[in-house]
Amino acid sequence: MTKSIRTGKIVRNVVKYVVLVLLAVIFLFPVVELILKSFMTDLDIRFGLLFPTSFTIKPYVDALDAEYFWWLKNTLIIGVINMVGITLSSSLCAYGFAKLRFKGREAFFSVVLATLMLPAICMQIPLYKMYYGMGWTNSWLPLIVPGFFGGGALNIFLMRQYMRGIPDTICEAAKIDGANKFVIYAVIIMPMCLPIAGYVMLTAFLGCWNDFMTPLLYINEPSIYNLSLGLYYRYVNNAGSIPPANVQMAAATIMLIPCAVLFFFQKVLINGVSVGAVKG
Amino acid sequence: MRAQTSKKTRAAISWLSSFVFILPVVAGILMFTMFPMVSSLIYSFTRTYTTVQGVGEWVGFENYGMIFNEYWPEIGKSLGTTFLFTVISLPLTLVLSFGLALLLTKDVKGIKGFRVVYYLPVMIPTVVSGILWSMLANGSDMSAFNMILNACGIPSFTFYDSADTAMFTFIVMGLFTIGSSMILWIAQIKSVPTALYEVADLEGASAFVKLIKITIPMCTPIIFYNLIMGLINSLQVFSNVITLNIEPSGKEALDFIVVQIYDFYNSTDLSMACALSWILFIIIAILSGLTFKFNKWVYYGEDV
Repeated sequence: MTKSIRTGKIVRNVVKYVVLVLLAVIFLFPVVELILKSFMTDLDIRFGLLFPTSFTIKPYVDALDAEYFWWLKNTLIIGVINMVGITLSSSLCAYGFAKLRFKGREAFFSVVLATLMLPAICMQIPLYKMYYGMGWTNSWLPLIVPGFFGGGALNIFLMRQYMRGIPDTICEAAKIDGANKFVIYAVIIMPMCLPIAGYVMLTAFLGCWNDFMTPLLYINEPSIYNLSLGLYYRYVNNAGSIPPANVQMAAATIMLIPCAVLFFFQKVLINGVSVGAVKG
Repeated sequence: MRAQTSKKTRAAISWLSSFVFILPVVAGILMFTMFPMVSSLIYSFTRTYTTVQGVGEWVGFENYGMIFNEYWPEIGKSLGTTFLFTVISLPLTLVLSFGLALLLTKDVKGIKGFRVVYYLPVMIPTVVSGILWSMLANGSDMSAFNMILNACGIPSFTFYDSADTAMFTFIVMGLFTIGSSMILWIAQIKSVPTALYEVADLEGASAFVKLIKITIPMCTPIIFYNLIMGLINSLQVFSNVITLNIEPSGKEALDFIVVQIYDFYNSTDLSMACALSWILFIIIAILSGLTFKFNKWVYYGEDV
């Protein structure tokens, strides 16, 4: 009797692992193929092999020229500035919407939420005109400044949802102890929001790293391209000859590294954006 | 009298000190959202060609008329493409990412490693994924997917390189990034109080009943969030298409509406681009408005 229960458990576990591993193979396939192709010789590429017959770093030598590193540096700078700006700005606003009571709060929040629904393209064309008038086109300002103004409705929404889970009694207790709104935000709410703040920081950086549409519209000066735009003009929209697949994959593999590093340090993400921490 | 004014002042100061927190987003919306939205509406009623030029001559609804007449064959088809993608991809993504999250909240050794692996494709930057997928999933016998199919004795498939299969390929490739919704589900599923399940166990509820009666209702905030964002994003597909390096026939099948808007913008027809983007805006507003209107099923924890 107990034995059959135990066998049943083992069988269930084996089935679970088989499913998990099969799915893992599927999800790993694109990334693994990307990395493998980046080490292939031109000949292996021509035969369309899945596994290289010999490894070579020549694609990397070809892909990583001075211009590539310049774009990499540009992307890192823009990403870090946005990470700080977006997290700071969106958490301040989310705190206002989640924990402060003032006239018009719900109305303002509805307006913020409504901006989620506005198609980016709808704004980006007139924004070009505005940036052009201010002399901002062909600079990083269009990629940086908007982040400091609210950090995106999406992030505010997420942070607010999280903060709503924090009991109001905690804030009220602090208020009775003489803490003002800003102290409550900085000392009580933010430390409890670290998981969601970490998530917002990560997505802000990755969003910036991946951002392609904004630079595509506002930047056409190669020296200030970010990596996305640089790779696009090199490997997708290039009137001249496009370098072979292994070189493209080498350039792409390097672009993956910062995301991967950041991700592995981000325990929060792996455990999910948890709301459970605020109970009690 | 005096006490009353000071009370009023105090209330005003209190309001201001609260408002200061949301000031960045209010200013941001005015500058980077309201102003461009209004300008875009104005441009859509004029004949303006480029972004550098001033506002052109007022032409009333002429641009909108052209969208529904001269340009309708292309634009109607493009709207069809966008809706088709949304209708197929959105439910598929919701269900699969939820299923994946259920699997990944099981108490199994090494589960965190699996979460990392499943999330991995989300981290591939848009441009890289465009380059990568056009290489793995093109119609030539040498593409990775066709090598695998051929090895299994299945003839080559056209994938991105044919108008008939490009959309199918695009949807399937998009499913590789369900990890981003999955991450949100995981947290929500784990935050369901275990007491609920314990009670259910005492009552002898089956795993399926627990899923339907406990897990899913407790996950409604994330269902709602993923639904709204998924809807808005899939109506605005753009970067994932234009970064594809594929045959023109495949690209023509992926004529999403934002790609059309960008084409107008690029061919220096700014007012047409603005008019079309306002049509897209109205469509998105109606669909999201409907979703918001019927959000009574969303359950927030503080009501406990």
